[in-house]
Amino acid sequence: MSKKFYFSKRQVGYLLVLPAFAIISGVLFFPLAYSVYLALHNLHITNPRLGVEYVGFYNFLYAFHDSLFWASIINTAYITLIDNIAGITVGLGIALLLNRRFKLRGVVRGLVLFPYILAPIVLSLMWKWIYNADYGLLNGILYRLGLISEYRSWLSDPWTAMHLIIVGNFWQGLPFGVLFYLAALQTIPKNLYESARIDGATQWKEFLYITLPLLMPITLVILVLKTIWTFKLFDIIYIITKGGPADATRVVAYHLYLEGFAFLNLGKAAAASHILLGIVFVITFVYYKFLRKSA
Amino acid sequence: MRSKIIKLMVCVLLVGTVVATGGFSLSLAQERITFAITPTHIDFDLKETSRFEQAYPDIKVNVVTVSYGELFDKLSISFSVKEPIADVFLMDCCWLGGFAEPGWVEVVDDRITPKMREGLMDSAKAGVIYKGHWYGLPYASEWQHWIYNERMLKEAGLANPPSTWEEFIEQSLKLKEANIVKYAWSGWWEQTDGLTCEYLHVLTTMEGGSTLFDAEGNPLFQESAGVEALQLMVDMIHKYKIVSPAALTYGITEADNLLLGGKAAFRIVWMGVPYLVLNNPEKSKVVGECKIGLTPSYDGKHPGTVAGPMALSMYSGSKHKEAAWKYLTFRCDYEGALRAALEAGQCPGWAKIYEDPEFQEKVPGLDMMFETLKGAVPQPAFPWWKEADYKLITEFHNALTQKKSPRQALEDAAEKAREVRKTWEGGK
Repeated sequence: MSKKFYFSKRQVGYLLVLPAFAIISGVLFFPLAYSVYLALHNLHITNPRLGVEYVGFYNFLYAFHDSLFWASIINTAYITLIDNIAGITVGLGIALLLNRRFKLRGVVRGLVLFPYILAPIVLSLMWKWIYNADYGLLNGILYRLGLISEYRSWLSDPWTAMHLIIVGNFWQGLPFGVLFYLAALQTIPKNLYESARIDGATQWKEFLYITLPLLMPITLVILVLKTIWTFKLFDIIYIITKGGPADATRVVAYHLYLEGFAFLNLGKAAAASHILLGIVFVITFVYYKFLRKSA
Repeated sequence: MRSKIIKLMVCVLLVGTVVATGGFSLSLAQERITFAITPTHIDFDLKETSRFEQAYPDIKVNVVTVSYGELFDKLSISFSVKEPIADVFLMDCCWLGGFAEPGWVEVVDDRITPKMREGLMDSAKAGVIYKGHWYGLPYASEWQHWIYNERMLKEAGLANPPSTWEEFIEQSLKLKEANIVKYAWSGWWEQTDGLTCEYLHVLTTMEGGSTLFDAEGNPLFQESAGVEALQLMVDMIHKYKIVSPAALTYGITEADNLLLGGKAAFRIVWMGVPYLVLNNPEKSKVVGECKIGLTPSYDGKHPGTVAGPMALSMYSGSKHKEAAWKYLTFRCDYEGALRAALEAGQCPGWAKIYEDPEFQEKVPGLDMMFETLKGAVPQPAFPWWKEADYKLITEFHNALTQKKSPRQALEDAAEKAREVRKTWEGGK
């Protein structure tokens, strides 16, 4: 008599997720494990006579003492801070406007998404031309408005170069915040506002005591994602400034690119990227604790 | 009806498979190689490739263009993982050590004929020879030229171009006062290796200035000549205001376009045969105005320049070495180099070509080009140069943005260059 073999529900579940898990392991866990291997070794790619050398935590110590790495972290953190503050406040403001009824609201909503649709490299090239010292739109507008007496090279000065990068990056990421806030605003029950109005609350009080608290969870999501994405900022730096002038706009992703792919110091780049992972994790944890408490 | 549609779809599928397979079979009969090059002369490169494929119908060449700034990175990454993006590729002289030491580029000593050995110009050697071995054939054996706009100088009442740096500053200020140009010198000073080449060019014209490193790789640029050269560049921007601050953001195209557009009077160019570009009405608005000159120097008697010969080389792991070598020789032998000179304005690396009557007739300004070549210094070709160069460039920018003094910037650069070299050699 043949024996039938039955799978339990749990076993079926495991079997069904197995293919997806295999793929995720291949594209996530294996590279992660290999990057740990790289961080603990020096491959000496450009001097193969030296062979692959196990160096323990030397690459991590190098990164901890590398002033360029920390300067790039500080640059990136600064961009992230400004971008988050501006992105959340302006994004929320635009979302509140778009949440009202007005003519052509649908068209305006579509236009607001425009920067998000374009490829980052296209946007970066566009901003490079806007900031061009000889033919740029920025100089043209400021000159015609009488705000400058002659065209300036904005990208030659470390301070202005950094802040113009922030403007470009902010513009690219703005639709993300608008979209999320707009979606969240749709979920706030209307009867809360009605009740508040009956009790004599002003619009500002409605915003402060109803809208803002209920938007805290989505604000947390936006903050976390924007932080992670800004820490990966690369395209706009590579296209517009290449980290200059004088490394003033050197961000951590560009630093890792140079170490790993330009100089082929894969071990150092891998170690630095793990330190970066830790930093982003800590920041995310702080956001979560702070905003969860506020919510 | 339904079965008819299914039968029709099966027929179309079968026919399509046969056609595709047939095409695939045809292409299998051809050997395929990939050639990686910058897009500077892409029209000419494609034309030459087409000529090659007509001469060798059994070899198909796939031309891949990568901008100069990315080519080294793409090649080295692809070679390091043994997934090459090219069988034949452009090799700049300053990359040669970085590719030769890991064994990524094929040694071609056995393929070099006695005629090739004798005929190679001294200035072209650095592009093909490393530690006594040949690693390719000369492709564009160019050097920097100092260009001045003669029409602008005459308009300002200046009879001759400057021979000393003092004269250069005076003339630049005169051009500025006369509203002929706002900034006399157009510099390629963005945070890339072009800045190093322009700095090296200025360094060669200073008293005691020679090159960046000695033969063992010890830095020399932090000495007095190097400091003077960088100080001069800083003063051009901030003290005399004869170089635009925007030069810190200019790539080679932007900097060249200022000269070609009549917005600058002086420029150091990498144009191969400069007059073929300067006097080409399709590219230049200053046709007939510009001349090749001798770079000003500290005493008017020591002009200098930087040699930047480039070669075409083969990847050492290529599975199509014979086909690749055929393409290499087609492009870079005497006839190929002559075509490149006449049709694309590239400087040949073979001395005999400069004596060719057709070349002499069609290529203007040879006398002055050779005069400038006399003071040429090569670029570093150490295997650790790429990383060290980046450290130098950052320090140059620190000085040019006045974050550091030139002396401090160069001392820091020297220290960083030593560290890079030590790390490469296995030290910590």
